[in-house]
Amino acid sequence: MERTACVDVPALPLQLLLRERPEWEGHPAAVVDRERIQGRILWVNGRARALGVLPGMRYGAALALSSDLRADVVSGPSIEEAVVSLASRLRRLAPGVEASRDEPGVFWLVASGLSRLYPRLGEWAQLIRDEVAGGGLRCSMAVGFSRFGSYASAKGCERVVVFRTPEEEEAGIRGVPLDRLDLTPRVRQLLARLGIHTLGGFLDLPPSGIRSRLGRRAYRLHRLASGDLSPPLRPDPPAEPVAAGISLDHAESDRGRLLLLMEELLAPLLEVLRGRHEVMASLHLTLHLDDRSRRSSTLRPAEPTLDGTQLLELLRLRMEATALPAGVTDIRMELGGVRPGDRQEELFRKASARDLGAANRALAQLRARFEGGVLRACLRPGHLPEARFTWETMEAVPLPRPRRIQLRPLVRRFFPRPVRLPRTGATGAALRAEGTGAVHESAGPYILSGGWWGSGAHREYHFVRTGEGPWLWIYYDRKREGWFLHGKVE
Amino acid sequence: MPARGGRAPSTYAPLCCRSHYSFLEGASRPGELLERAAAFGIGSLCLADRDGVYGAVRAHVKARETGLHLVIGAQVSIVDGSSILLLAGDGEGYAHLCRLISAGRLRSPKGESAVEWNEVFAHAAGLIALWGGEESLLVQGPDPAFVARDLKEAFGDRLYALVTRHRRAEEVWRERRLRERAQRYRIPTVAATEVLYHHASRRRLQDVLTCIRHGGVRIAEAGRRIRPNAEHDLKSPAAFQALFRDDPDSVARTLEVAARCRFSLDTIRYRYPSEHLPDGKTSGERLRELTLRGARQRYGGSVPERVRIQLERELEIIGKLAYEGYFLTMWDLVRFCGENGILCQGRGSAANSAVCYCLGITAVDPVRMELLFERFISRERDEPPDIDLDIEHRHREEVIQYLYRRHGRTHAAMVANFVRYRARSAVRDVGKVLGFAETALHRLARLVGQSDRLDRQLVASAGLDPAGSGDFLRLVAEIQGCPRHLSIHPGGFLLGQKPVQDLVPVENGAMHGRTVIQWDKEDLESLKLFKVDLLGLGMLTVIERSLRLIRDHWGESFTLAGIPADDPDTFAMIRRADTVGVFQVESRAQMSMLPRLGPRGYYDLVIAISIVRPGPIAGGMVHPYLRRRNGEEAVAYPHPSLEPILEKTLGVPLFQEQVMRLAVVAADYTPGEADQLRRDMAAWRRVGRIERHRDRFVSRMRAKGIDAEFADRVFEQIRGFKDYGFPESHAASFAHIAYASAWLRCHYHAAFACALLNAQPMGFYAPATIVDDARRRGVRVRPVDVRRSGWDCTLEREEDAPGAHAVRIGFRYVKGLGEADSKRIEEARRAGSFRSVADFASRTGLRQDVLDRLAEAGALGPSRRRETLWEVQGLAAAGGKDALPLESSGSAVSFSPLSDLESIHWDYRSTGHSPRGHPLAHLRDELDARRLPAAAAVREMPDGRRVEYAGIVICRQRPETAAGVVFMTLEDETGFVNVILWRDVYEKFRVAVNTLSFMGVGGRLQSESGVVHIVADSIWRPELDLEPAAIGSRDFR
Repeated sequence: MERTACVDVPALPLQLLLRERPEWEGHPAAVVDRERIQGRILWVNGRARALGVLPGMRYGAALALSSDLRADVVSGPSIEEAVVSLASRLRRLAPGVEASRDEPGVFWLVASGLSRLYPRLGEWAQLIRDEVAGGGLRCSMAVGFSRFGSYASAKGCERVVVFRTPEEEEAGIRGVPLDRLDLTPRVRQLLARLGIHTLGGFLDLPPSGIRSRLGRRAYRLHRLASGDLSPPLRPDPPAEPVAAGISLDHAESDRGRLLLLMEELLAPLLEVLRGRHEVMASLHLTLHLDDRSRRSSTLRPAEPTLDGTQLLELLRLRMEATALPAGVTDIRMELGGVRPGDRQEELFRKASARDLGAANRALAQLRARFEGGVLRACLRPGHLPEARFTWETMEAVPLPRPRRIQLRPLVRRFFPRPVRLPRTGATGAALRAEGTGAVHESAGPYILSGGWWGSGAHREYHFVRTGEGPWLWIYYDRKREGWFLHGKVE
Repeated sequence: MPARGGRAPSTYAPLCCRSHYSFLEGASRPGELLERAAAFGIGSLCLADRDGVYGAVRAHVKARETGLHLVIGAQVSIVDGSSILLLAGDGEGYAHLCRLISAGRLRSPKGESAVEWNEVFAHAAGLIALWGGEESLLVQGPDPAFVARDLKEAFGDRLYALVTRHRRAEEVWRERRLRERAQRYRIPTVAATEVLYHHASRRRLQDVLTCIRHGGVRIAEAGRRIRPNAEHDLKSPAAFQALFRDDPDSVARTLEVAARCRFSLDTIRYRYPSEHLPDGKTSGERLRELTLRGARQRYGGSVPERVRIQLERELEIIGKLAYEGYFLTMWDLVRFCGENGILCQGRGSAANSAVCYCLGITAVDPVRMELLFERFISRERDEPPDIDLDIEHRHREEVIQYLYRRHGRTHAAMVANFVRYRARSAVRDVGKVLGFAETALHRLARLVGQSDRLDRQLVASAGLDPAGSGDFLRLVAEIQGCPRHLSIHPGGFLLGQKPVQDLVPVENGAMHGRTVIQWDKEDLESLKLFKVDLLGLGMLTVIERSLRLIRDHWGESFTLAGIPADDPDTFAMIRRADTVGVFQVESRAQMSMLPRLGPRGYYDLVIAISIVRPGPIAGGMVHPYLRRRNGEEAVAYPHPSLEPILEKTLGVPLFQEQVMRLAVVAADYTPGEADQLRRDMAAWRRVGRIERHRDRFVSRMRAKGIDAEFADRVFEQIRGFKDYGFPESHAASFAHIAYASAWLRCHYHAAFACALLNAQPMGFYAPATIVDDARRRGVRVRPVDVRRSGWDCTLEREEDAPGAHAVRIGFRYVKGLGEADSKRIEEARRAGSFRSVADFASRTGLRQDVLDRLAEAGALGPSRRRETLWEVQGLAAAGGKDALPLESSGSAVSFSPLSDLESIHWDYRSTGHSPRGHPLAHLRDELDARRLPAAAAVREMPDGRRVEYAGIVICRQRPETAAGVVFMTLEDETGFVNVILWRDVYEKFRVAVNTLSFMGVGGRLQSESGVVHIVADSIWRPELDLEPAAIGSRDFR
């Protein structure tokens, strides 16, 4: 007979939070959906629950019950990451693992065919618990015969339960408290008001009345519990990386031949992606050199693609930019795939005289040629000159919207790093010492001070004209007690 | 203008100062700006807050103190987004400024203002205009030729171009443009800095306020929303001259502008509105006529000689001070209330006036009570009288709107109340700006509420890093007291003979139909302006409703004034502290006092109301008074001269008036000093104002040979009055209402309980306690029922007990059910009785959640509530009101019946109380098994006995006067038990005390004069098989 097991890591996000914040141990703690007073409580620990803090409450209301309540947000990606990690751990001990898509922390395991390895399934279950505990989490587990039966039993027990017969499982789930199952708070409260606290009582309700009164979710639970609905186990296949490599008998230094080898590697990998209905978003290339050193780099096309020619051009540019002090002995290539986006909207886009696609391809080539990407300056509303703009990575070229500007007669250019002037006491002397000549004219000081919440700054700016002619832009930094040349006016 | 007080003339006058009354912009108090200006030797300062004169009175008072010349102005916002600075040159200019701001404010949403340029031109007379600054059209955009020419035409030589400098590079081109334009339009320039704080150290606070104004943006992300440097401080003359060393003429012109502004708030001529008088009578004649007519009614035709003399004296003083209009207005309001069946009664010092008594404004006979008229009005004090009128709270808005109609919106406006930063709001807003996690901040805010200090330790306990909290703590301290926005005083009105808008700008209140002036109560007092206070009082509503129920159900007609006086049964009830719901004597502390005080007459009630107050408690006057009253201590006076003052209260000062007279007689205070003492006591919560009297008060009493310990205690009492002081006249007015409510409770408890339930929320106790109290006194309380209930609770005749009435709970107590839902039920019921739940749902068309609540409350049938709930759920799914009337949806299902305790739980969940019983009544067997006695048994136990008790918490209190001691009241089905927790016990069981609703207490019994307390040494959670429902607790209020 087929055996199925279920592992429940209760309140996984809360466990993750407490694992991150061990200092919260002993305090009431909760996971909230956002870091606001209106944020909704999602999970609570025992101490919080004892003080009346319950999931579904607003954070403000919970604070009224417990001013000591600690709360934080646990992001979706970090939960997903934990689920992937847990599934990977479970696969070490189970032939098949299916992670629940609705409830993070619930996993079904294929438990059939383990009798030779583990004559007593209880021991196997304990190993599973230990494996989960190795990741700093605790779980309960049930080994039964049906998907729902093992799920409900795992939810209902504290540690491990192993059923010997399907009848035993069926009887066992009747006593599972409803508040352990995935019901909405409204439905759970309504059932409680009706005096129904266990799965058994819930099963005794007429199915026809449940859907209309308690909604689809409760109706589905009822069908699952009654055996009316019994979806099969669908273990997740482990994700195989799309990667390939080649080891060379002799170290190869010729870039042309290396590119030919890469082309051979690339073509089948692109086919694999095509088979997965994915397109390539990144290519990670690793070259092992004869001197035991290694060169790694990542290439990104202008947009996700399966166009081998375009990718080879990027590889060529990267290879030209890569110094090879020794011959290559090993080539490894791994592709990152993504689902292709819906490009139908492009059909409706007004044709532009400018070819943004070409611009973006050029950007990709620049990225391939110069590692570190392409940057552009963006204005920011800061006071300090260096805080008035920032450098941002340019992923794509936007359609330009030129506007007429009045040209200013003077342009102030400032240095990436201000130049400290010699300590001579007076501005003029400092500038003379710098070789700019005597100060003929000056304006200022113009004071910029702020950032008191951080390291702080206090600069007294002056425009000065020296004997050499140009207007210089200098400041006295009160914190650093020195004069600095910050730029010139042209 | 030269500086006053012999100071050397200053070289400049700051003309563009904004205080923290430019909400969330200025970072200093007006007083701080003036004090620093005085320290710099500056002779004149102009306070020009944004679109308002909110801080003008405070600045005016400080200017008087410091001898500075204050110029009043405002930065007026224009609809095009620019602004102009307008200064009041004379009285006419000030009135124009107020009118202009009012126009801008009244057309804009709350908190905003904008005027048209045409309005500026039209109000130019008497005003001086300074046009410039960053927001001005003179430096922005295209040449404002039309505006410039019209401004020049309107203001003539009173128009100046304002050159501002703050050491910013971009100011250079702006100034160049401003000077070009000023030259073109021949406008002289005047120099200024935009002052936002008195000292550069406040720059951080100004940055934070700016971030809060921009919606709580984080300071690190504020960018150019905050100023780039700390150059917006008040400059010394030397610093200002250095800043404008290239333009001494513009500096000198600041003095010229200041000298042209001659207006002072001292010159305001305020006249109270004359009433519309019949037959060409003067207001004095009309007042006399009404007073004498009222006296004849009050005293049954023959007015006693003492009263007649008193009335003549009062009328003479009122006439000399020209206050007749004020009294006639108050009479008119009382008349309006009387004609519309609205109960009202004057409180406060007005009860000292026989004229007020005869006009029906107050209910206390001051001649019989020997109250002093001078406490109300004094010719020497030259202060307007202050009459506070209590009105049934549900009708207060009607009276307010009547006042608006009577005097017109131009001549009447409500007094402002400035909502200021307190510790909690400061923690939240400052922390948010500094980028602290909001979850941790709210935790800290709650901890601040429970603790009396904010320091690094508290910051750490909230989960924040204490190391980086230095700025945070400093800013939280600095921001406290800063006004955040304008609100409306609960009932204060300013009325004027001339439009109020000539006196102070008026703006819209948050509540529809309300307009509010830009000054608060304290400002009006400083300027000696009249104020009418209309306060809502829930107990008057209870009394009015009780009297109506008595008339409708018992056929007996009483009025508030006609309630039989000195009723022995009523006083016996009060002595037993059986006073749940009785006005002023229902609190835990009062209940503890009443058996010891043993009130037997009206004046005892006056004392009872006054004695449980911070003043007498802090002064240690309570126990000496009780001992003397009970004959345990001889009545003695600290000095023979004090006997006339303290005779009434057995040698112990209890009332504010007595303390004031003590100051004059025993501490030789002059009338002026005594008046200052009274003001300082009234300015409650202002730290330091009372303290300055200590040395003078105590040393002078000691010099007179009065015991130092007594002098210290009296001063402690004065400090206590700063928190909440009760004048005798005020207590006398309240005692009148307290007695009326006690009499109603004693003789018509069903009517009283019904009225009290309908007037909620008010008073000290939750509805559940009121219901249980009524049940304990034999009143049957019936649950809400769709076949019988209305919106309000009603009385129903008891068939089995002739003359008795039961209270039927109204729909107002069903959570989630609104008055409109109630009307639908009543309308459907009038059309015919309901045949089934489905029929009810179909005919009322109520929402699912409402049906759900009604089912849960048992209003659709008290039995089989679970089945009804299941059926109601099915009705919604079957189509609700569109379903056929008799259709029953879903198959019949049976659920386990509700136990008695579950029924009570369901009642509490759906209505907040249970008419079916007290939650603990059904746990009594289990409690008995655990040897936990009922409250009635505890009351019978001897003093000193060790006891363990479990009850439901209905009140937690930690009075400021109790040095950290916490008082709790626990309740069960037999009554209350009071619990005292000493500070260390509270700290030990803090979490349990603050969080448990059903609590076990262990301790020793303290029983004295029938007052029983458990002095707790342990608090625990009783482990019962079932948990009782929680009753709403009144916590730490």
